[in-house]
Amino acid sequence: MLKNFEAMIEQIQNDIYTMGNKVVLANEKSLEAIKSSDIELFKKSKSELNNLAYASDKIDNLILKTLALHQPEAKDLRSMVSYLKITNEIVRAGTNTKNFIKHFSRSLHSEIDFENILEFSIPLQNASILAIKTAIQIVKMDDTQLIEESFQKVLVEESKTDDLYAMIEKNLLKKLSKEVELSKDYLDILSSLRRLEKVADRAASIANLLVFAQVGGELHQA
Amino acid sequence: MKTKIDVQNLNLWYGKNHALHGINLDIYKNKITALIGPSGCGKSTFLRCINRMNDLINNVNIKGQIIIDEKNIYDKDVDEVSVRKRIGMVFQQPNPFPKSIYENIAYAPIKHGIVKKGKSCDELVEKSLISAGLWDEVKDKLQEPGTSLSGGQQQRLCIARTIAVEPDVILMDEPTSALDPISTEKIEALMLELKKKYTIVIVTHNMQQAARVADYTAFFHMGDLIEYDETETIFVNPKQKKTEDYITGRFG
Amino acid sequence: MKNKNNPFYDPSLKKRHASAKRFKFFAISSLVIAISFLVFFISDMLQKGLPALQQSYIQVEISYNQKSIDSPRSAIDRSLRRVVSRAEIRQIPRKIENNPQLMNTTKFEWILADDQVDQYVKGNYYKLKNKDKKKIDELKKQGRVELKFNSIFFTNGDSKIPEFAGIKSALIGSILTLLVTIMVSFPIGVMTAIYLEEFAQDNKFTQMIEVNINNLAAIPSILFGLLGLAIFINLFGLPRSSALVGGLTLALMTLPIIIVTARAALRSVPDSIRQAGYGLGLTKIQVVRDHVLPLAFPGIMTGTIIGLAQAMGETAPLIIVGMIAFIPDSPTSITEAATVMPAQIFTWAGMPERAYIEKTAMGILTLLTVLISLNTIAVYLRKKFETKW
Repeated sequence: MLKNFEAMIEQIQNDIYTMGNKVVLANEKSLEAIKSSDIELFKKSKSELNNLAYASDKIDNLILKTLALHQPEAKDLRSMVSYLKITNEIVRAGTNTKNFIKHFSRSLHSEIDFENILEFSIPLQNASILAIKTAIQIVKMDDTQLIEESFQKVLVEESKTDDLYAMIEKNLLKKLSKEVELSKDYLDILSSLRRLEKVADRAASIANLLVFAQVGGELHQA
Repeated sequence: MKTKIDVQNLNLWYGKNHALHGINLDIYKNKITALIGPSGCGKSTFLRCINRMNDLINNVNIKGQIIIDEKNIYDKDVDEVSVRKRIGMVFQQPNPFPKSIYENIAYAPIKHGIVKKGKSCDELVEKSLISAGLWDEVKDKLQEPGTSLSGGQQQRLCIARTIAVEPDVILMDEPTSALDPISTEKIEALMLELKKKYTIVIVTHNMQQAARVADYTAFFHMGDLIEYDETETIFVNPKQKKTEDYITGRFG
Repeated sequence: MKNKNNPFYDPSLKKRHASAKRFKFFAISSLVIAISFLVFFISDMLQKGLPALQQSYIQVEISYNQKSIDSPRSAIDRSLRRVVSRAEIRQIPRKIENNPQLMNTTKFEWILADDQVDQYVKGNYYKLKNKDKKKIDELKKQGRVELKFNSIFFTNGDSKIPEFAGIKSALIGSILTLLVTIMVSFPIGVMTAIYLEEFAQDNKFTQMIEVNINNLAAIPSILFGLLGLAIFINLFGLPRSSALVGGLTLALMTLPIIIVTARAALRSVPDSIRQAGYGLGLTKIQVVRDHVLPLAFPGIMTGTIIGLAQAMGETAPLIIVGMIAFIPDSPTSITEAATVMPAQIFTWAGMPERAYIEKTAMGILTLLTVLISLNTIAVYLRKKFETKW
């Protein structure tokens, strides 16, 4: 039945936080899996990402209802619009994570020397996880300074992933030119690592929207 | 969901003017039902049928039934005065009696025999004022005239006066249209509290108010009931085009 | 109002301002004319009436003895018998009776002078024989003639002896009559207004009643006198000339006014109060008696007092029911014959003696004072009840 405005906003925030954390958890678990080479963990991390679409629809409809019944203005309105876009971003981040897990776990069976690769991919993954984790934390924040600081942190991690990916790309392409018969595997790894970079992009987008909700101005892509 | 008020085929004529055309509606217990619609659509007329206030006007002809607690209130053996004791009404313009705050609330219950003068009456006055969210503001000046309060306070006084008579249903005819936004907000919060104990029917020409407080909304147009549904449905997915046009502001 | 550079220049304004000035002039001059009539009237009354507040007294020697009881005129010196009031002479035996110690004494007392002497002393037209006039001049030189405050005017009733005439019996008669009028017209008038305004259906019948009541207020008052004569005196057999009959007749006259003003007062009570009352499940009686009536009360009071003030000044109908008679003693009950102040004034105005002129004027002033006080009470009561709401 009907709830009042405060209750509805709180519900939406909680749901988005929960949904976002699922993606964070999936990423963390997959990192675990890579470090310990545990296939089971891969499966578990993937299962975190089930039903993301369903959760997103639920939140979107709740936002729709809140807009219809309470006609929010100013910060409340910005928050509603931000949340509406954030659900999409989280779903895409989830898809990116899923694809990373799928492709990376596939290439684990190949004959590639992973020691070298992991040296670079784990920092990339760490940066990506930190980005998305920090971004989701902003949902529950209220202090403008804290939000701005977290936003900067996300941007830093995001540019880290850009740099790290560029390095890995160079490295792997060099290796690929030496071991051409493993080129498919190398390309698989590359494309899966690219997904991690995309997750960081989504995180930056989410953080940008949350800053807009808090501080105002105009909507613009991160 | 229990039905508190069952309206069956209600028709009303002002002289020759057929103002309400066969209204059928179920109003549910302990819920807030809003009646919306453009000016002159019959929503206030309909509201006043529920407590038989239209009987006070000459030339009014009413056909149909309004069944409350399994009794049609328009039956010959029902006294309209007793109907109004169980169904209270709050009006658009706050209209406290020109007496003290205490007297305003105490008068009707004493006349109905609910309490006698003295301690039980004092308790009833206090209880009603607390329920109306006015006690803290007036507890030190109960002997001041009711008209010395601000507009929002006067309206809450009228609400306290209405619930002192211990009704089941509270009808409100545009209760906040004469008030400022802060007082309006206080009274809307009050409504959400009151619905725990009472069934509330409110006429409002402010759609957003209906969206904020009502559980169910009925849309009237030119004497017809066009659509009646949960408020969420009316405002997100109205089924009738007329409803949609009104909600989006395309007419009225 | 310069043009060219002035964007606010409007040529028609000059005419409009001139027209407004003319209107203002007419309004003020009407006011001035009305006030001057009032001033003229008041000053004329004061001029004629204030002398009535003083009466001439002469200091004479009175012998109180047996001879005085048998023939009071002998108690006073022969030369002074004609200049002293007849009423005083008549009272001498009673004085001795009340105070036996006066027996066989002679006293120097100030007693009332005859009305012609009084007029002479006050400088008006008089009818005195020459030797009486000389005697008075002589007494004046001796300081034995003085003008004192005329309390007799307020303690005596009417009298054939001008210097002994007062307004008291008329005042009491007016009060008694007014009491009867209030007792009858107020309850009936207010109840009628309540019924017509709150309970009656709005149909042709009640509209006809309303028109007729309004017409009643416009009927010449003397016709009410005829009505009173026919019904109260002839049909019911009530005592003629009594305050009861006079009061009832005036009640008939005041009733339409009370009904009309009470209705207006009731109508002015906002309908929202009644709606609130009905909404709480109150019956019509409860709503009207406890909520509408207290609010309408100031208006009803004002209307009633104005109607009564008007009734107090009515003469014509009371003449018909016989209250024009000569009433020297104050009435003690409403069934005794009485007169009222306007009637008394009318009677005095028709008397031949010169002394009655000032009494008439003083009577008018007394009546005016009573009326103004009634109106002041109306204003005060209205203010007092209005602050509550």
